[in-house]
Amino acid sequence: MIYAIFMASVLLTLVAGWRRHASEVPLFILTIVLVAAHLAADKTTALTLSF
Amino acid sequence: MLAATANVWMLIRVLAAAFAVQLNTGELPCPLCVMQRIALMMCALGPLHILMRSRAGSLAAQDVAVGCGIAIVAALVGAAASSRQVLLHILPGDQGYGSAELGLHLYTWSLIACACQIAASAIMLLDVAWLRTERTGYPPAVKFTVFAFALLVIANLLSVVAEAGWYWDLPADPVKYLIFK
Repeated sequence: MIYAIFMASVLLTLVAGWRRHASEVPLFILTIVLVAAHLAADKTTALTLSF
Repeated sequence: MLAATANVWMLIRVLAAAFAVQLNTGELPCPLCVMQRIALMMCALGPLHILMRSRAGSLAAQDVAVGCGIAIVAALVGAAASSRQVLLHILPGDQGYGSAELGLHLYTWSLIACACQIAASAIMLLDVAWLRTERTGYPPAVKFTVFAFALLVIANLLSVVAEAGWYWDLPADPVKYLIFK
């Protein structure tokens, strides 16, 4: 469901851009931050980094 | 205008190819694959921003700058997701996730696509030096391009809903559409 929400958010940003609404860029920023946060919290594989 | 249109259609082609592989081979995209698709969709929002702003009849340098900024930020996130997946399968003997297309796995193609997107956006930004509040008119191709992109996003959205079912996240190694379970 989380991925469907991200894609719906992409669609919403597209609609905002089409209507030249001021929320287009803030919506994009919000979506990319959420996507990046989800990526950072990647739970697909246990990842242990050692430097 | 032409560069932005070509950029969107290239991304549509990449996303459609990934979707075609999913439908043809029956291999479901893993969570990281879906994240890469989302990042590529967000990359397309950049050139689409430029195209949609041009509907007013003219194009300002600010519109091109914002569009390229959107594409670069999204491409960086996409590159992070695909690099992560490349690194997961980098050890010798690892067969990788899914089948290879033209010798490379889809996540490797995704990394290449994100790098190309960053390069394309940088070139478009350089092109602003010669932009003089260009008169663009309202080419019908803009409407068609936006419609085609929206259709692709909706198709991917329905696919991921079918794949995830009513679960919040996808399984790490999905093998069937959970909505039909």
